[in-house]
Amino acid sequence: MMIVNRITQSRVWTSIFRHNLDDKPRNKGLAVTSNVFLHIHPVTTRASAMKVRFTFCMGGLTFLMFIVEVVTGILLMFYYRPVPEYAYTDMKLIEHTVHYGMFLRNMHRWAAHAMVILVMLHMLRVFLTGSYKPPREFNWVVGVLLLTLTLLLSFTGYLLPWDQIAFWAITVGSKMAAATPFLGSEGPFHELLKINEYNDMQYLLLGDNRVWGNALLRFYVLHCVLLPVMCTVFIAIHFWRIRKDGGISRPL
Amino acid sequence: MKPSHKIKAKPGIRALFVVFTLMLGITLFLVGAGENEKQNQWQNYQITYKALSQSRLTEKRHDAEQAGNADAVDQYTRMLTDMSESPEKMQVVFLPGSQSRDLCMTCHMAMENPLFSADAHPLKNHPKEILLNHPISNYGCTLCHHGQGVGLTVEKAHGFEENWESPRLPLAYTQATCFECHDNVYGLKGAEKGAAGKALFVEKGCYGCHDARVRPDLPKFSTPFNGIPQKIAEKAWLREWIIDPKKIRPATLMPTFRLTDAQRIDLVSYLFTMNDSELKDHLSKNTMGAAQKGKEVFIQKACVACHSEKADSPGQSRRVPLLSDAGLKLKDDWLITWITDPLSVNPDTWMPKLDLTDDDARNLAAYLKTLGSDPLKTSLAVTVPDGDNGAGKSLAQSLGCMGCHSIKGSVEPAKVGVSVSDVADKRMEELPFGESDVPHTKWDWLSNKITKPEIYKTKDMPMAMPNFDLTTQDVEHLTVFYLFNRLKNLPETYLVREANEEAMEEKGEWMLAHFNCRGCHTVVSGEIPRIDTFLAKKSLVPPRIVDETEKVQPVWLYNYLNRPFPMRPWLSIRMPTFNISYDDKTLMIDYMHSLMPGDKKTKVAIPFETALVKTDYDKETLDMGEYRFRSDKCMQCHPVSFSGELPEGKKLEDLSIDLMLAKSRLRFDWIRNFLRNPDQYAGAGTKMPFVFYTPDKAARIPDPEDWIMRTSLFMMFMDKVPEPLKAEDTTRKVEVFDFDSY
Amino acid sequence: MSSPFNHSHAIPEHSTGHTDEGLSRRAFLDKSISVFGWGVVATTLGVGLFENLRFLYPSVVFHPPSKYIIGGIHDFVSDEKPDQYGVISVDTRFKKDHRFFVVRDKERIFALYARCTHLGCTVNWFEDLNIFKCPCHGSEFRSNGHEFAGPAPRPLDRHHISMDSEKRIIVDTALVYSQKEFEKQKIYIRVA
Repeated sequence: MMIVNRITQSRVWTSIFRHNLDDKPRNKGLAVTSNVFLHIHPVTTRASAMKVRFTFCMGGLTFLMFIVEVVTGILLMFYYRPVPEYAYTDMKLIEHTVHYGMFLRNMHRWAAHAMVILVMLHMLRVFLTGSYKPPREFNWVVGVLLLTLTLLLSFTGYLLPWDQIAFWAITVGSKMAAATPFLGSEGPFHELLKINEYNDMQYLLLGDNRVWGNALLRFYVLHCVLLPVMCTVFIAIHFWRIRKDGGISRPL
Repeated sequence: MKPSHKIKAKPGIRALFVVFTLMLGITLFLVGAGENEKQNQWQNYQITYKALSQSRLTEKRHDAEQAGNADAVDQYTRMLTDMSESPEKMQVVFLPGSQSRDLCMTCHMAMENPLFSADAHPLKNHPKEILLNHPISNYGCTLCHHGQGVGLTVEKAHGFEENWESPRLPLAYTQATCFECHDNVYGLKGAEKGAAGKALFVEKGCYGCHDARVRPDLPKFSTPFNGIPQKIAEKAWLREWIIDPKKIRPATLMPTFRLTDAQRIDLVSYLFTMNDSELKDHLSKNTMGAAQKGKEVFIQKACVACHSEKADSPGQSRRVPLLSDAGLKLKDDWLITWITDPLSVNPDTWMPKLDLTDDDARNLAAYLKTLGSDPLKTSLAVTVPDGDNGAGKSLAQSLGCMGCHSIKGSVEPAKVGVSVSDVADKRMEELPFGESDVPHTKWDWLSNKITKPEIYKTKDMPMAMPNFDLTTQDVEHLTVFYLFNRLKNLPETYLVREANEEAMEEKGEWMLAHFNCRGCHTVVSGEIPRIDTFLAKKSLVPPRIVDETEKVQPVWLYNYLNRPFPMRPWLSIRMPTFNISYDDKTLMIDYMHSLMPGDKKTKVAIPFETALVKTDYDKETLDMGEYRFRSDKCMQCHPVSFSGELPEGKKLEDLSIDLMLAKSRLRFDWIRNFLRNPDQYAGAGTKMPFVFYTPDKAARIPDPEDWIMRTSLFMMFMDKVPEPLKAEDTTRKVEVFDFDSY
Repeated sequence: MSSPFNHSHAIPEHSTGHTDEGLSRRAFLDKSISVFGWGVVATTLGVGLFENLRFLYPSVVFHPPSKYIIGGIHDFVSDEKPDQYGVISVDTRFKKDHRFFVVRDKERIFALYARCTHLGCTVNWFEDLNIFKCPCHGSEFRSNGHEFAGPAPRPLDRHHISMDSEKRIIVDTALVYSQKEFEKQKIYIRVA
């Protein structure tokens, strides 16, 4: 007991665990405010907002999926090289020879699918409960941006295994960029801006006019750096707006 | 609320907590078990391998101890220590150049271990010979065997999983991958099946419809369509022929096309419009000779060396028409003209112009007209109605008839079949299996396509490829040839480009078969020419041409091939005139040179022989040579000229070649070798006597080498054949050297 | 009732759930659920951490081929007399392609890395002089690889050499040993 006391009263311990768990209102408050994860919620929350059926925690689950993606994604990056010569083999090697590689890859993949589905359901719920109405209209717009980012993350990640499905999906997908009006070499009115296949949207997207090394590298950078960072920033804004606009969805 | 209570979650939340933690635990367990199983598979093999090799090494060491071989004991001990220290871990061959990462040896550990020759896979060792040129550390496994190098379970590693395009090849087809690095597999050791497949591809005329890596200059495989009305006697014959060529000639190479009767009639009708106007004027009106004499000519003039007139016995090669139905098939005028000069009828034919008199030709034609079986005769006794010529023409084109048969003056049509290299690059989903129940592998698809193409036919997809007559082995060889027949995109260090010599040998061998040289000549010792079985006397068989380039001067040989002339008066068979281009003649000489054993090859110069110069030798040497020549009476058997009278007491078949030919025809070294040992250099049974040595290599006369040298030299500078030595010449005038006047 | 303003660092008064008979059934259940639950969580985290560490240790690494079969012992037999350093012959066949010499001395065969220990030029073998000489700055080595002239700081390095089950000698150019390590680890093939 003496040792336990010495530890729990030490400076290090008390600097981390700032309060005990005695059932006191203050501790209840502190349990939330002194915890970074629980601190996402306001200090006080309406009891009705805590009901699962109210939101089905769609947004929260989407965020959870995002975290899963970040964690597994970072681990996969250790064994993956975004170069045409290596990408596919590296993916196969992750599956076959890396410790728990198959598990991680599948987790990354399924969490990605789940994230897209959940973000859609989240949007549906927001729509049905009318939570896009003022004063939450700005957060709705942020949400739409996050949806786009999620889809882009999904699209860019699709190329990285560098198999036939990936290759052709991105070939078709990036052809759409070539069909952009004015800015795509095959889109309407592209003659007006003197757009050809070397200065159109597809060329920008792929860094090439077909899917090859530059496209793979470009999509990798987008998938692993640019889009996640943007996502993180917008998620922060999204959460911040929830609190500023009257907390988790409920009638104001 | 009492302060003594800790903050607690609600019971519902606690229940959730329990459920979630349980699920977490179970997931963790399952994932862990899965990973573990994956690991266990290869680890178990490694454990077994280690145990087995330890026990075997211990045994070996024990044996060595018994034998008292300290070095061996030492070595085995060291190997045992190494073995016990090696941990279980993945084994890999990584080749940056070909981008292969082969983990195969993680399970197949005993690949290079001679102690594991009798085990079953995966712990069996690899045949050693092929590894000498392809060490595993430099070539890995999947370059040859395919499969998924990075896989670690049986199914994954062998590539038996969906969407893996190159599963491990069955051992029967492994040679197919030789084609991925070796440009030409002709004569390649270990690639015999592939080489056989390639030879078959050429031999069966597959190149008529399919592009492949074979020689680009292969001729049209079969006869031209022009002149069919002038050549073929009955429309009914042609129809019977198209219905089933093998019924008429069992050994023919013409495949069977699957056609309706109406289609056949259209085709026949179209073919009988193919008049050859030049040929029409050219055909000579001739009367037939006597069939009985013709039958003799057929053998005497060596037609039988290539052709057979019996339906059940094949000719020298399947590309030579069987003549068993010639009487029912061919028209008289065409036949005589053809026999007299085939090149005037079809300039592309490989049938040579024979040395025949007009009578011979007429008798031969009469004999051939008697050939034909009765059943065929009765089946021909119907009139074939006229069909739609236009339909026949388009049918001939779509069936690919023009792949093998030419039409004079028309543009060479595109090949109707799929290129062989296309098949190599096809993915599984691109192979049409139709409604067949063929297993979904590339090799099964191919071997069934070759045997029975019709099984892949569907409503939307016609299948024009005809049926060929192939043995199971042929099909396997052709499949090996077809599977991966294109150079892979690999660094140059892996690729073996075709060597000039290889190409020459391949073409040379093809030419020997194409012109049926083996019908008359023994080309490589041990072979028996086909004509041998039909001739009563062995001395009537054309000469053997084993190591011919060692014997004759290449330039002479070139001229002889160009325009043969009679050299051996006792033979009735004459070398015919072949239609061979300049390049092909030189190539043929090169090939005959390359057929010689290695040590001889290096001694003999090609294509030129250094000429001897008379002034390099003193007159006395040449005179002594002449003396020897005359005293041994060489000219008695080697006559002055072919047209001259027979020497007294000699029969025609005792004679030999005119020696005046020697200086332009024979190599100086060969003459000397021949004089030393006639049996060795002209084949056993030569009529040439042993003059200078006995067969046991003992000298028969004093200084045999000097005399051989003198005699041979004399022959190389001989202006005319001298008379035999008369009695008075034998008394030698000895000149006494006058020392005083010197 | 304690004040909500109590300092949170206060020590808990005493543990709860104890009756005079010991742990009540409910308290026991509560306790065991939380022990089990947190136990699973802790295990998961622990195992996760451990497996993550293992994840970071690759099971297999890919190096280009570096082993060369140089023949059998019989290929390095010579009837010459050993020189004063015990060296019988120096085989230069592998220098051009693989950059090593195979040295046969009285009782062993080893592979000398032909890289000068000074600044990395490829040294040449001079049969007549019986020395290795570096073309760049004139370092000289004796037939056994020991430096004796020029700027080279230490003897020539050695490659790993071994014999396989078929008695073929294999040199692994990926492994380099200093002369001291070479003697210590016995990186040579002993021949009688």
